[in-house]
Amino acid sequence: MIQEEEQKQPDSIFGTEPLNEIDKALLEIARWTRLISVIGFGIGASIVLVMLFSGAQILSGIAETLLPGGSNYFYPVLVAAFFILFFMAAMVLFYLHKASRALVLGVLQKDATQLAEAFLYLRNFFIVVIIFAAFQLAGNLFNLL
Amino acid sequence: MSEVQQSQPDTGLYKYIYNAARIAGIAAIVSLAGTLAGVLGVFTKPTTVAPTAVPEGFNEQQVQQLAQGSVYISVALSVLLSVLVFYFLYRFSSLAQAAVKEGQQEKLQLALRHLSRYFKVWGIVMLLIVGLFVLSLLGGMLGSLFAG
Repeated sequence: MIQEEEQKQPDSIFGTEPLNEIDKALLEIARWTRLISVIGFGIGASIVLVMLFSGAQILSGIAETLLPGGSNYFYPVLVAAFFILFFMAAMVLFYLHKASRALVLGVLQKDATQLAEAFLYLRNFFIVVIIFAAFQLAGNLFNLL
Repeated sequence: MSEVQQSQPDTGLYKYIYNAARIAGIAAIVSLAGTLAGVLGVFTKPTTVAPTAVPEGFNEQQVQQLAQGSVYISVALSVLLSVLVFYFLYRFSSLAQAAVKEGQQEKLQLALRHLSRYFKVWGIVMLLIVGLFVLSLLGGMLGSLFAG
């Protein structure tokens, strides 16, 4: 009798059910996406800091090595490309962060709407990944020619 | 009982999981194609490594070979990483779509496990990047300390 109660206790302490396998997998996804987004925000912040102080130097240096002589025309293109790349990376991290939050809330509050929202954010994340990968594919194919 | 289990096929949550899985499948294929095209580029058009200043006492040819070798090592690592990531993402995509169509919980659980492994791989890669960055910073600081 006592043993039975002891076995039940951990689950019933706050009237919560044990998490099932799917919930565990969802929380695992949330944990890693949160880690990625936090590290990513940190890297992004340090890039912003570096660029604030010596962005012009770095980018004009890159422009000069990539296209010697024509860096005057190439420099604005490079700046625009940097901003587009940075914006897309920020979108990826934003979607991952939102998905992670929605997953945790959805599992803990047993709210299917939150979980649906999480998968919507994950879908958006994969769309940005496709755009990134398409750029990479186009660049590599262009390189092959 | 979990909300995922309560939710019936064709209702909101399942639809969102299905859509995410479909897009994830496309993302996996495009990413792998991008990497393979890059590898093809490296082997068909070997990039000439920029001639580096060879320190005295080192054979110039050996240093060049070492630089070329490091290119191949990084290519091999990136291929390994992208194949691993492709496998997890593609398995998530196909398993989740099948699970929603057939209404099978086990498949959905397996699919979500693969998605979590996909993010785990990226998380570990990011931790490694941060670790290497910190190491190089420390190395630079120590170097300037002893050089000065």
